[in-house]
This record gives sequence, C-alpha cells and structure tokens, in this order.
Amino acid sequence: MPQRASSQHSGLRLLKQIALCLVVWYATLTFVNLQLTEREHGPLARGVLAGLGIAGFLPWLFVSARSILAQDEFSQRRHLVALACAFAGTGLLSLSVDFLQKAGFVGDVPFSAAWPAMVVLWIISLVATSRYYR
Amino acid sequence: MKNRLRVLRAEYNWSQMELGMRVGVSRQAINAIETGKYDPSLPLAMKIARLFGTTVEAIFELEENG
Repeated sequence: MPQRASSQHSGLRLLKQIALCLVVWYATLTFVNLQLTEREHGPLARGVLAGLGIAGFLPWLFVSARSILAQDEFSQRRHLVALACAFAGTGLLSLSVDFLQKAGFVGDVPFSAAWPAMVVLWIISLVATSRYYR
Repeated sequence: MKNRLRVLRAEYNWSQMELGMRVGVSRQAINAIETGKYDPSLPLAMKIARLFGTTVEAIFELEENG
C-alpha cells in the first residue's frame, strides 16, 4: 500500500536523522572534552567550546521533539506516559545516589549522568507501554 | 468508555491497520481504542464516526461510573 510504504520511508528517514544527530553529538562531545581537558585555552575559547558542546546536543533534541510531534495522538500519549515514568524514575535514582553518596557507599557521580539514565528509563517505559497497549 | 468500533470494523471487513490508515493513526491506536485502554480525542472520534457514516454517540458510550 502506498501509505504504508510512505510511512516506512519516513520512519527510515527519521532513523537516519537520529543516527546523524547522535554522530554530531558524539563528535562535538569528544572534541570539546578533549579541548577542555587536554589543552590550554583562554576564557573566550573555553566559552566558545562550552557553547559548542551544548550546541552539538541541540539537533538531537530538535529531531526528537519533531518526531514525537509528527506521531499520532496515541503515540504522543505513550510518550507522555513514558516521559512521566522516566522523570519520576530519574528523580528517585538521583535521590538514591545522593543518599548513598552521603552514606559513603557511592563515589562522585557527574551531574550529566542523570541524562543517559533518563533516556534509558524513557526507552524502558516506552517498551512497557507498547506491551500494555499491544 | 465503551465503544462499538470492533463490530463496525468487522461489518466493513477492515483490519485494524486499514482503519488506522483511513483515520490517520497507527494499528496500535485502533487496538487500544477497541480494547477500551485508550479514549480517542474528539477530532479522532468524529473522524471515525464520519468514516462509518454515523455519529460519535452511536459508536462511543460513556459508562455509568465514567
């Protein structure tokens, strides 16, 4: 069916866009981390590098938001539920890590570690909602 | 909310996928509506009703405790 083929085509295009955005993110992350930790730079250059590190992440955010908005209302509902679960899970996780750190069971954990944790919880929640609504 | 979507779809001999494509949602969305796990938005309910040539009330019914 033409509509189905079109849907598959747009799905493939979305996967390519997400893959490209992840490559851009990883490249800028690696480059900026390397520059900031291994080389000496002035305040302006460090500011630009920090901005570049943030900017490298923006295409992924944009593509993700656009892909969710392009989906039907039911899929958007699933994302909403999954994001709510991920948000609550990340809150619980960060609180747990905080207390475990204070108790001396866990070492220093970077603040940015919350983000990948939230992504993992988001994906797990999406799979769970997919199974529930199957 | 109860609905007669599965019955109507069977009368038209459409699959969930086919009905979904006709109203612009996924097969999973149609399945979730039919099983009562998801209540469609008003525009989607009206699209479905229009597709079957009937009214929203003829397809969807609010349960007493709903």
